[in-house]
Amino acid sequence: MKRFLIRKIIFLPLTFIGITAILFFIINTLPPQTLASAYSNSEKELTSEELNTIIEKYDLKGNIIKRYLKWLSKIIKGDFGYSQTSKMSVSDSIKKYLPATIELALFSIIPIFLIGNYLGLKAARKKDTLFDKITSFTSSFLYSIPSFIIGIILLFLFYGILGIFTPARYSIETEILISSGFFKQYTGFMIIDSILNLNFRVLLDSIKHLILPSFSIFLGTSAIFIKITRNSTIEEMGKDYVRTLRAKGLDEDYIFKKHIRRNILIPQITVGGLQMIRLLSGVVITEAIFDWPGIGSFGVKAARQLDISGVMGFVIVVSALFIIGNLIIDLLYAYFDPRIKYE
Amino acid sequence: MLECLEEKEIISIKNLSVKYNNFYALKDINLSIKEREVLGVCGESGSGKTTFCKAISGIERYNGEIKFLKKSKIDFIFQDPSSSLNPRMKIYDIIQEPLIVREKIKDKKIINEKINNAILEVGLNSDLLEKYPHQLSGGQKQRVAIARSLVTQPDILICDEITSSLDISVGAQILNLLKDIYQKRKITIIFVSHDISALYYISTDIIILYKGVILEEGKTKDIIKNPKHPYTNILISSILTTTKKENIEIKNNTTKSRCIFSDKCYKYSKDCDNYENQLIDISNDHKVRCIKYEKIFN
Amino acid sequence: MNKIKEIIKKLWQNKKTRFGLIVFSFYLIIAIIAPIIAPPYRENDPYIVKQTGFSAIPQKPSLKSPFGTTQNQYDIFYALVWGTRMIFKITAKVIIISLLIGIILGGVSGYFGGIIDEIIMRFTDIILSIPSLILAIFVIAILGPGIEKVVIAISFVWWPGYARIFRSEILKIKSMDFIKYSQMIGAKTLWIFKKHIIPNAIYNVIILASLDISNIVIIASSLSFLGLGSPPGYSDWGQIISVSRNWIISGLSSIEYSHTVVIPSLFIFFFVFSLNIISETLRDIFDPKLN
Repeated sequence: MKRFLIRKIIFLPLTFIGITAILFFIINTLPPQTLASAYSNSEKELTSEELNTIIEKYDLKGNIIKRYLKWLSKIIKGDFGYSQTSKMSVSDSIKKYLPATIELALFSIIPIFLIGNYLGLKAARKKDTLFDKITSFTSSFLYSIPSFIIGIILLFLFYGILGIFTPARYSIETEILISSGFFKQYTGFMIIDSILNLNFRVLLDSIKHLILPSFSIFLGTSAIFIKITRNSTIEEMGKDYVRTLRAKGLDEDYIFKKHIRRNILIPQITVGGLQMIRLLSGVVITEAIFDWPGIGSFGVKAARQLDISGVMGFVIVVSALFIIGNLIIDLLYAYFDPRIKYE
Repeated sequence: MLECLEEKEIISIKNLSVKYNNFYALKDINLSIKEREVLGVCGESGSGKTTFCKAISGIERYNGEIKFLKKSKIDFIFQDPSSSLNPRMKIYDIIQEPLIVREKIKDKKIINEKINNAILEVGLNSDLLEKYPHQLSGGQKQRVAIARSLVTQPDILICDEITSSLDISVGAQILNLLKDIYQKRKITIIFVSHDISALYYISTDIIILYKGVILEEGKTKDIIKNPKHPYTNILISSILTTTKKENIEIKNNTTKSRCIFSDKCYKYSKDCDNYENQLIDISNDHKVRCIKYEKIFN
Repeated sequence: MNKIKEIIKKLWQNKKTRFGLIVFSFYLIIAIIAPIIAPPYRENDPYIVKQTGFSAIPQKPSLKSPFGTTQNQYDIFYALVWGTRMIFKITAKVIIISLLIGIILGGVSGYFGGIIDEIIMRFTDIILSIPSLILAIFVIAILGPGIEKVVIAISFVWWPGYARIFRSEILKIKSMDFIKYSQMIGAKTLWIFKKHIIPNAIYNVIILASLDISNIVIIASSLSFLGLGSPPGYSDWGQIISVSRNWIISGLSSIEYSHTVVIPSLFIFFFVFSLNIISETLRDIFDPKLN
């Protein structure tokens, strides 16, 4: 197992370099003048004189590989440049917006796994009953609806008509609390911070704002997970060892808890991992619909304004998340799959 | 059994060897193939028989010399017709390919004529021409492969296990077809098979390959009726029941001999350790790579 | 071509897929007759959405506007109809471009192998390791917004998938004896590609491409929704949803204005849904043969 993990970990920096290389080379299809604006640290628009200075300083007309390595060394230190969109450095923007995305992602992933697992198991145990049919149909149906449509229908229903939930991450009151300094953001995660600030109201407020977008993500991505849970469980249920255990008189629930649930973990992890892509893309759309101040919103705004350093930071961070996510999946795999464990 | 009376050499093979990474697929092959010979190449998997075919057809790199003593057209028939015929091509187009690629014929009329002749020669009906390979039986597909290989009138035909994927009765038909074709045309055939009875039926000469080395070579009559190498004897014993089987079995010896078969040979003894592994002439084109040949009876 | 007729026949026989086919053709027809059922509002660019008035408040469906209007009186019917045409154009272009690039690069990679194979495969690996929507957003940030740029961005993200499939098909075929035969009789590489490799390898790629259509539609609409596609006031599905959302966010929305949300959503949904139904059955048709 060690070898397996070491191999995977060694590949990480290589993939990262590959991704940054491609992104860098794509960016360099732009003329030096446009690139120069990405290197500036000020808010104002640059005169052609200032542009030329920057072009000279960073040798924007020079050798591309040298420039790439220089730029890469900056990126590794965390220096992504300045973002015109958020009027602060890109790394600061990331620090500001990323926690919101991660909080939303986690708040969505947990229900997907917990509820998805529950529904899948139940559907398998009640195979071919009404429950099973409805669950399967509903989840496939929802999966095939584009995420922006699910989002907008939910937004319309619960905000436009019913007014129960509101978009954005917190209410105006909470915003005032934060900007006036009465609420300290220690981690950037509202749930954790509200506990640390012992502010119950903000906690409720944050959760209330999380519900709609994460529900939207849940509806759009859980189907496959439910399906694989159901199908693997059905497969397991038909296996010989289960029949033996039943014959021995063991309780059905016990068999499920102790045996079947563990054995379906591997396909669940596989499929869960594959769904990550869908989740990451889905988060971008969901943030746009619900006005969620996450890295997705930041990236899209930056793209709209041709804020090169901003978009670059956005893509690199998301790719990094994706690579790390994959690594976690591989680690889980290695932990749960006996074949790899004892390789 | 066929006999070849020609004396003109058509392929001269000297010191042929093919090395993959760290082992020899073929080693020190020396052969003189005569015109209108049907050379049977007998060997099990791993013997190098396919490598031998590839080397002669020019699609495998080799060391040594393969000389064609006159400009010869070579054609090839493969073992599995499901793999050797393009599943998305009509039979007509499959047979047409060598005419276009090799002969560069453009005249539709001539192409039609040649294809029709070819299809009749292999005993198939011309309404098969519009069909696709998956609509044909195994035997029919192999006949199509033969038709394709004959349509440009090749001088040398290489057949690599062409009956091995077919039912025995179908395979027998194919062998008969091949025999007919041979008798009607001036063609040299290299016929590779692990099935020595097929070789008995169709070859004029036989070589026995084992792990890339020729263990025995000679006229079919001599090899079958008078086998000299223990390995050949093992192969023959599977078809002829009249041989006096003297303790024929596959052994597991520890040997220091250069003989490549010594570790499995039932005739192995200490004197084999000194053997230089050269080919020994017995008679009339009959050579064997063994020093125990005197003691084999038939 | 016969194969296509065969496939359509099989799809027709399945009740679910028949529904999908009918719905899909319905949209196809709409796209084709767009100029007739929604006469161009502006002559120089028919995609600019018809505006029926000046009021900032969406109007309910009426005789004048069968689907109603959004804020600022954009006619929803017009936008959806021309948006259908737009999405067909975008999808067709993306598929053609990415198939071409994918087949050429995948073909070279698979047939010739060696270092070229390594380079091309690493390249596809890297592109595939970034979620497609996000990489597409990046490319548009570089190129600037616009429909043509959307086509380029999505094609850039899409071709690696096709290249990989085509390459693996070629690897399977390369080892077949009929390829060896052609090589043996001296056929040129181009001939082998044209007569043997492409007809056998392209099948799976085409299937993959047809299954992909709904994904391309979604990513194209998403990009437009995010404001990275067509300019404001354009007939574009993503934009319609964006406009619809803006009305909800403004706080002025209520059940009165449900037509601004429900009609476009249903319209887009049915298109994607029909494609998905067809894809499901297509996948089933080709699976046994693939094995």
